[in-house]
Amino acid sequence: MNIDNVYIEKRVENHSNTQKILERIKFQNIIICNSYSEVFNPSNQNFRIQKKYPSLILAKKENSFIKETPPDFTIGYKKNYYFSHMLNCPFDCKYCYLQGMFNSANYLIFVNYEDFYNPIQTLIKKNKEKLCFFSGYDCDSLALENITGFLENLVNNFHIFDGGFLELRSKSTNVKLLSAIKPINNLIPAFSLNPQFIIKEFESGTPNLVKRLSVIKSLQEKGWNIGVRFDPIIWLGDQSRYEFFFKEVFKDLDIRKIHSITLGSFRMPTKYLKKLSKIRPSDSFIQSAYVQQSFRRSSKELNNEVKSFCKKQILKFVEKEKLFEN
Amino acid sequence: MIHFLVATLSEGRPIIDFFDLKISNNDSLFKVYHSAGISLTISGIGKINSAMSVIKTFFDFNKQKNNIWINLGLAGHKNHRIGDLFLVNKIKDSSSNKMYYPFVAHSKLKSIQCITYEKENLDYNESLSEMEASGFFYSANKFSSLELVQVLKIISDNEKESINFNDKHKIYDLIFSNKKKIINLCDSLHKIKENIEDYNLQYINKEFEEIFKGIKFSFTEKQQMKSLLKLYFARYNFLKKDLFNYKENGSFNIQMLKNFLRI
Ligand code: SF4
Repeated sequence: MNIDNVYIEKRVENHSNTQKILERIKFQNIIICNSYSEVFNPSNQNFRIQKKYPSLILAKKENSFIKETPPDFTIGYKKNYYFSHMLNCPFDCKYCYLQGMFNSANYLIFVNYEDFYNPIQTLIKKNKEKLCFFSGYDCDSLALENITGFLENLVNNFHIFDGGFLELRSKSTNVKLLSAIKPINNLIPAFSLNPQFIIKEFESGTPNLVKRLSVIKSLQEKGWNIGVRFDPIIWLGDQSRYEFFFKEVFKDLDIRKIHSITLGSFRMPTKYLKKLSKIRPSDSFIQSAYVQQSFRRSSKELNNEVKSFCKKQILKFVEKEKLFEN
Repeated sequence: MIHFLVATLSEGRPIIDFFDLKISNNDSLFKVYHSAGISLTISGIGKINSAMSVIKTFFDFNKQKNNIWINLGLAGHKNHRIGDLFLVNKIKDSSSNKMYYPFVAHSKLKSIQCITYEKENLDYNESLSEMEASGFFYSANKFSSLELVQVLKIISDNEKESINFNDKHKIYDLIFSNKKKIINLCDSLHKIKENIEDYNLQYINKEFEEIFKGIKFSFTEKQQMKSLLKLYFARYNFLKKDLFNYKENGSFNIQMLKNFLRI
């Protein structure tokens, strides 16, 4: 990957992960900064432009390593947490909430991976119940693995998750590392899916459905239990196309090797949606969602209809214990 | 529109010639030149002048947000060759120690950091030495997205040699010899500006004022109507004026448009 500019916080200049990341990319300039926030946070910058010309920011995360997920967000475990070793993503989904959350589209990597491990272990030790951790909440877990090496580092230290579960959620088909190792029971690779006509229109830069399905299949054949994520399922009407999609997804997959399925509709805090409506003014999907939300017209009814239709389709193939609605 | 800001007329001359600019005022404070789509303001030396001239230019040219701003000027460096041109990727204000990070990822031009000094600095180092960038950047970034605010510097002096700053022809030649790079930068900035689709919003604001001249809207209704118009223009190219009833109030017309858009 060609990233011309790399911003590095002075304090992580000599961190071993910084050095490794620099060895993995071709770049033109290193720009030293005091804090990533000087580059990442200023308000008058444009997410859309930066998406086209992203830079890399290497920084140190200081605190709040692990956060609780919203209450409904689960794949079957009572207590759920998430962490982000990285903010932003090389893909460009129209509906991505990161556009509403961040001012910058630059890839921000927290290189002090080791500092995430203690809080995870402490949480697991403190709790009697099984905990589930989600990676890839504010990024895509696998898409930039070739640069970050985060997963590799995690796999080498995976004992920290003993007694807990980790989900790696992605749209990427970059699964070289997972294919090369023996499946780990409490590590759940999970893939987000939508019909191909939605992928084409809404998920720019992501692998197509056939590729994603073939990667899931090959990991299942190697023994991995896979999470299948229809979240958010983007609904453009025409039930028959979605019916066909669910058939297409489940016809080739090994149902026994599906860890869980989640189903969720498109949702976003109004504050983020407002920002999206500003930076994507000619996108009718975003404008329509914003107008609905700002007129406080509840789209719950439609969402429930959509969800119950999708649920019906999914349950044709998979037992209901595996399905979770987010 | 592109706004160039330079400290002295000698630095501005080549820009006047590249773009065939005409003087638009003979203001004793800041001279301004322009043609269709380009302006040039002579700010005078120093970061305060530079910040003030940005504001003056912004107001002179209809307070247009998200125009392109370029601070072009001469700078010193420890060892870079006289005549070399750089985009600035980091600006340090020497008196406040505040940092700014202009966006340079769109350009293949060489980029470098610079320090904005209060006074002329002859203690050359690895950063460019100059006197305007921090004031310019701080000010222009208030009116335009960071990606559209650029600082472009040409080396005029280093540890071993310096041009004669009174030699207007020499300054002209230094800048003129970088003409192609300057014009390419303008082209690439025009291209990235296309990603800021605010023409749509500006158009909607204009349409709103025009169509609903005689109709009273509360603040909230105004916002609601504008967001409906945004959705309308995301779906259609032209506004059907007979969609509205100009004898009725804002809320009635909002409902009409909602019905049309099936919201
Ligand atoms: S893959 Fe996920 S993180 Fe990346 S752009 Fe799409 S929604 Fe956002």
